Amino acid sequence: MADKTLVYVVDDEPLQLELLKDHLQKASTYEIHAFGTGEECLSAAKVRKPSIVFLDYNLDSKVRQAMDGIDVLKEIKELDSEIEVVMISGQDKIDVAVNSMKYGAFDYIVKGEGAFLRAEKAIYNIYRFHRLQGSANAYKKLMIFFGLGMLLMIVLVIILQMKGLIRSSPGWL
Amino acid sequence: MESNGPLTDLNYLKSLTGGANDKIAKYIRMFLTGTPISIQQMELHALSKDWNGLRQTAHALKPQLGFFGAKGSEELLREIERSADEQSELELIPAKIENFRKQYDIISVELETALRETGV
Repeated sequence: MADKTLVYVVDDEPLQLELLKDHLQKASTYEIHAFGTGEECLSAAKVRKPSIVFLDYNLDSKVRQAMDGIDVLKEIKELDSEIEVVMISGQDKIDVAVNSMKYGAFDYIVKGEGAFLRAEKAIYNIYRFHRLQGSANAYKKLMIFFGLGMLLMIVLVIILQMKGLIRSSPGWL
Repeated sequence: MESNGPLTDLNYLKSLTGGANDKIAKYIRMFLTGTPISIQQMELHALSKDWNGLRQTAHALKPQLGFFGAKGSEELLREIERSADEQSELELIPAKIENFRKQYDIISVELETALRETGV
């Protein structure tokens, strides 16, 4: 994830959009950009990729021809699968959440009074996840390096033994 | 509809904004600008029996009522959304929208008063 966290917020309800944008701006040092449609968000993401996108599930409530949240989610993930997307919806239906996760959303937030705190928590969880992923990758690399080192040592011992430079087997060969 | 006490409660908004009057005033203005359009859309959807359009408009407006503490009106929108979604009790929808409009008339007066009090 980039050092300066760029966060996009997308909602076709101006009040909801403004509230979430203001809240995230107040609660963090992130660079927050707000968009009223998924199309605007995608255009911006093609120029400057965000680290996190908060995306409304129902983006076609005002303009029927507008892309809905799931379509925007799919395009964001096609653009860069590393961009984490948090879906937001007024519906607490399980199929909405399942659908979001199926297409790669990191989390799902139900609109309402607790939504802003959950949005903050989602950012924290995304960071924690990426940190853990980073640690796991480093550990994996270390294990590969260690394994190769061991293999080299064994080969070296065999060569030395074959050339008679060492007399007896170390026991484990 | 009972008329005991105010329909709105700005405590949540005040805690969310840390009491910043400029923010509260901005949100009230946005709500007062957008909601009459949404009500008009709901009426048109109901007239044309566009239940999906009605469901979407009620769904989008619903959480906004919650921000201003208008829980009763939020619940009324939830009922409208559910009826449109399940296409049940459709004959009650026009009366429910009318009831919501009346509630909004009271809400808008309360919010305009709150707006004046912010001094912004």
